[in-house]
Amino acid sequence: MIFGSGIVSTPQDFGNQGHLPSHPELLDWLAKYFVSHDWDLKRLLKTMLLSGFYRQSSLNEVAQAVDGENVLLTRYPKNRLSAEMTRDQVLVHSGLLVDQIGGRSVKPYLPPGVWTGASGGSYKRDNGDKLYRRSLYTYWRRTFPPPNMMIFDTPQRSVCTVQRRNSLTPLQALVLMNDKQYAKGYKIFAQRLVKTYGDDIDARFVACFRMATSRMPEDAELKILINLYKQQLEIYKADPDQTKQALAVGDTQVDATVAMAQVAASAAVVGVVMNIDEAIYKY
Amino acid sequence: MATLKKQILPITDDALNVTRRSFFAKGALGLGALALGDILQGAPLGGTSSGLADAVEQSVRHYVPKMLDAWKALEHHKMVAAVDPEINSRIAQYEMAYRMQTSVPDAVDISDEPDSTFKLYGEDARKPGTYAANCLLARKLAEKDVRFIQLYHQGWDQHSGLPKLITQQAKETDQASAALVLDLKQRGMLDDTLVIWGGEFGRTNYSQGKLTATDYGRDHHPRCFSIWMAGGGVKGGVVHGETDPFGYNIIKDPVHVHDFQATLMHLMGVNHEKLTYQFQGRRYRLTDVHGHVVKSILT
Repeated sequence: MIFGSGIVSTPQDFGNQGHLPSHPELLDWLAKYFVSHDWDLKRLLKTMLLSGFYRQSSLNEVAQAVDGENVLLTRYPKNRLSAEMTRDQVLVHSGLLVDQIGGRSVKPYLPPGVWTGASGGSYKRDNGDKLYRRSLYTYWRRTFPPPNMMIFDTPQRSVCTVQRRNSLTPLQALVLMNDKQYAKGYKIFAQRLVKTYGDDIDARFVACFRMATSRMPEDAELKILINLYKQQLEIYKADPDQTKQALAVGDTQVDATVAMAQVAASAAVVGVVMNIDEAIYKY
Repeated sequence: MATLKKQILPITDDALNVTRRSFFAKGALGLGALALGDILQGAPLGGTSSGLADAVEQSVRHYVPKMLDAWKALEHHKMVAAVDPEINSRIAQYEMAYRMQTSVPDAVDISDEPDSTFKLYGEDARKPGTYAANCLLARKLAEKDVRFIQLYHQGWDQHSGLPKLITQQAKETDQASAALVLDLKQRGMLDDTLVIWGGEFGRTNYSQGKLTATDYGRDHHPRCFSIWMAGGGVKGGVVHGETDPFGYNIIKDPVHVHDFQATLMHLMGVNHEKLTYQFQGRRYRLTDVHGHVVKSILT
């Protein structure tokens, strides 16, 4: 969850076919720390998150040259957000997230027909707040995880899985660009940006980029985003029907007081930013 | 032996109950590759299970190519700075996704099919989601070199009401199944395409439930059942195996599911005894420690 893989890289096999710990002393230290602090999991996680190792960048050419296998922990081991985090992130940025803790599972959007094909039953989608809870609360039928999470390697829950796969497939691109929960998130995120920053386009997309990647865009990058925005804006201004169609995804409608074409064009840019490597991977 | 490029698998019977419990299948219509990894799983298309078709429908927007360009420009910028080869494979996946978006609508478009196609497959083939339409879709996907195509026709679990339902189901599947084989043959595709028709178990030869002159049912019967195959390196016009006169037990040339899988793998050019994969600490074969290739049905 934090580093992508453990100190023992084969958690599914601690037996004689598994690997030995890469850093046995660190493992011992963490184990003792955990026990001596009253088995406080939150504290342990916090310690790891505040460590120098976690806070390093994964992009370090010098370290890469000297320590290719990262034995000396000179770089953060770049890894992809989990399926749940990937979806949650869009909810957070768009401001849609409902952070209520506990309660029954919820049933957000599902592509039509998928459920019937898989279970024979019917899927009654929830409305309102229930669409925007953390992915942790998404209803999950055994052997049939929500497809937009399954594509990001959630287990099927039919056999025990201690380590998720890390696959890279074109279906992931299709989910990140088109899945209703994402497309709608981009739309609302775009609306939020337009409302907050008004006509200051630079500020709008700097904020967008920063939220998605945790870093400032370089000038060249910002220019690419702004050019794309301008192109898109022309297209949407010229074609109100297409604007309407682009903004029609999902239940929550765009506020009529905001310039529609601006939101639609910004949503296209948000879509790009939320798809780039640094939005989906921790670097 | 013909090299096998494509395999078309119609599966009948109430597949869900059994496949859900089996080692390699997952609930969603057995599309998953479970232990082999999700990268090998199927993508549902057409019919009512429209994951991919739905994604495509929502997404062919005018700006996708531009979006992709901008995205690549950004990544490229970073790639120069960071020297990260993995980015290339991610970009490649996006390009593949885009190709899927643009080629799938074309692949599933039947508007150019002549009337003779619908005469061959039946008028049902005009209605998306019908078995006949899926058979036609299978041919079109095979033409596009899709390697594995699986068609489902569900609801063959008649514990009662069999005479009426089986008539209807036979009607829904008979013509189109034959049409698929004929169509592949006339296009010269049957040599490297294997068509398999089958379910995962049979039904009893005796009645289940109340027997009347017009109504009865049949129970599950896993001891013996038949499937058929056409093309792709198997002999045509031969029958392999035999049951007793009651259709209860096999008396000659049984083919276990491992034998069947070993034979399929052989047809695809894979030695089932050599191919292994690591799963939860040990190496598995797809046929576990069993399976014999049924050589007598091969061309």
